[in-house]
Amino acid sequence: MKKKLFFLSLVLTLALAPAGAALARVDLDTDTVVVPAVVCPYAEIRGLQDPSPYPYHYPLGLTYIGYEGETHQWNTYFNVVANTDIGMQLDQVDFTHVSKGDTFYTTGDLHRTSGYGGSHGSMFGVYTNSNKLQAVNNSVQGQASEWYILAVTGRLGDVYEQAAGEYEAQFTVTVFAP
Amino acid sequence: MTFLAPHAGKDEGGIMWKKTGLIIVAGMIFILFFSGPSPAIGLRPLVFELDLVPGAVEDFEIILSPEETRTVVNLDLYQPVQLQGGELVFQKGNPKWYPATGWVELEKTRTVVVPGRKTVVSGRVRVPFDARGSHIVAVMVEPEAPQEPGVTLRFRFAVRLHIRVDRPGLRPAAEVKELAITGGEKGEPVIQALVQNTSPLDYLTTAEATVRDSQGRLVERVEMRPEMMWNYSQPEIRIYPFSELLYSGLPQKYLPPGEYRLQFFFRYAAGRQVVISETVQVKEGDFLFPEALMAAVQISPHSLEFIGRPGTVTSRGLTFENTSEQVLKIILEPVDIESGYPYSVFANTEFSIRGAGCFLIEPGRKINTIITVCFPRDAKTQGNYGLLKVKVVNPEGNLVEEQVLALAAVVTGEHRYTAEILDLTFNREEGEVFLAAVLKNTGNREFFPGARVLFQDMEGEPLNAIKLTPVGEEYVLPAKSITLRGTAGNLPPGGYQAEVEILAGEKVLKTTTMNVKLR
Repeated sequence: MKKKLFFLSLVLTLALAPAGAALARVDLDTDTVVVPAVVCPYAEIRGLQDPSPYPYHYPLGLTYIGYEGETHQWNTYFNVVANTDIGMQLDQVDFTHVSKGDTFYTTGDLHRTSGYGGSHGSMFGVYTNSNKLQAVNNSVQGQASEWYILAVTGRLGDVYEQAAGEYEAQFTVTVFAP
Repeated sequence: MTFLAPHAGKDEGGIMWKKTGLIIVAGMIFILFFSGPSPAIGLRPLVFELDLVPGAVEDFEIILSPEETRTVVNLDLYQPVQLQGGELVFQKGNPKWYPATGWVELEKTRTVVVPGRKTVVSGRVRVPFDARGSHIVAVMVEPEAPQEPGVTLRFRFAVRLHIRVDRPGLRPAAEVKELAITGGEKGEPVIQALVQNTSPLDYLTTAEATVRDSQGRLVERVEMRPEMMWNYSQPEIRIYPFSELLYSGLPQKYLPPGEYRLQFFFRYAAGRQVVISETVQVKEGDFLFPEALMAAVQISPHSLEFIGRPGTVTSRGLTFENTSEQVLKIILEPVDIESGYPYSVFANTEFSIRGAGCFLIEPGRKINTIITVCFPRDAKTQGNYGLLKVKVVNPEGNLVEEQVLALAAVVTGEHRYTAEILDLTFNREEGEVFLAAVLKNTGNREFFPGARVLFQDMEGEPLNAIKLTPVGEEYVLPAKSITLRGTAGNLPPGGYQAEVEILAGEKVLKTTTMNVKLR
């Protein structure tokens, strides 16, 4: 009986020894396992459709009396969050009469700001006007969360130069990785 | 809107439910107008780097972040164009003019992003068998903006597909087409080099120029970049296939009239280089230099700030460099902001110049001087200010020049930032209304002043918000005044309410409202 037990334990020892050795090797192994991870360049625009806070938001829109040179400004905030360098392009379509096609002088300036409700901070070269309908800067922001204001200004020409009625302007902000 | 009570016959219950209903409606209105989180648009990745072979077919996926509202998103193909200043502009793609836009197929050009669900748009790139080099296509991802009266604001993302098709024999190449020194916007000298990528490959570049005088001595080494790339965080600038970039750099040293040798070093594609040289003549009056640059003695820094607790000592160094060709004598003379100035650095601290306040300096040599401020134990928590006049005298004893440095010694602690508008005037010139405000710093630290004026009609309806900025000096010292100016455009004559905010940088120090009458 003792002999049988001895042989059984010997067989088990021989059978399990390599496994044990293998386990021991795993424990002692000092190689580094490299787990590759890639974080894709990502960008997000937040804060859209928020009503801009007083005094920058005029709930009634831009209502002009109609005198020569009358100027009004409209501002809106947005927040860009990115994990990479990003650039911005601004494209402008002037204030245009919805049916007659008359236009008046329009400008668009992108400013940095401290946050939602902050005042106009520095500009970074992305500004358009009726003579320059497109502007771009390849390096506006890095890996950060930044707030911006788009300030749109419309200035009427001489009284006869633009018909009374409804006008619309359009601004397009393009975010890209340079 | 009417809310029906569940127990319509019971008056008390009905009133209670009506009240509850009103509270709910008020709450809904509040949430609609002042809701914190707002819709956001996000996507990844912004760039696909695709290294392919002729005839290859490669799929890609653009992942749109879940929205908080259901959003329709349009996708279209664009061509990025690199301008000379380094800007990328995006033009609608036309395979006729830019064949690579014809290689990209999008699974759909319109999709709906539903709240809480990731949306994936797939695409496929089919590279023709005769393709070679780098080709860049942008997938423009644009959420549909609601059409609003007045100003419509649209946002979009340009997802760049960078398709590189390798073929034997393809090599990056560049040609420097022009090297010159020209006058900038303010008449300052600008070194410019126009470089063309003459290969169908894109690659990274760096550039610098050296300026040597007629004796071959190095005057300056100038880093050069395309105009729009100065804020770019990476030192290397990518140039697109067959694009031209105009690299420019500003010499920081005075260039007296004479002959100079410009040398332009253009490094590209990790190890390649183009070097070209040009001899240029600088004539009297060709360029405008800041006065400080033209000075016989260069001083660095131009202002000194000492910060410390009561009972401590702080020192700062000043460097003087004689850029003239004669021995010069430097005389340092501390001067108060004004007689009896309550925030005087000399009256409120122990100010000393280590060594003599007068020394000789040889041509081409530099001398460092240490200036020390000792804050007394009973020093008040405030800023203290003064000036350091630097007189430069030639061997004949004649005054060559005089420079003035600003001094500030700040005792740390809680400082008081306060200000008053002493006067606000309106002038109409050629139909335009100009505002001028006199602002007095009533606090105990200097600050960068500004003001915002919001014009309202007499019913309180906002009309025009304008910003006033300083004229001349950028900051205002304690107990001193400064003039701020701004324009209110063509505000018609009449009575208005003006809400004036006094600013220190971005911080509002005070708000006052006044009635004004414009003529």
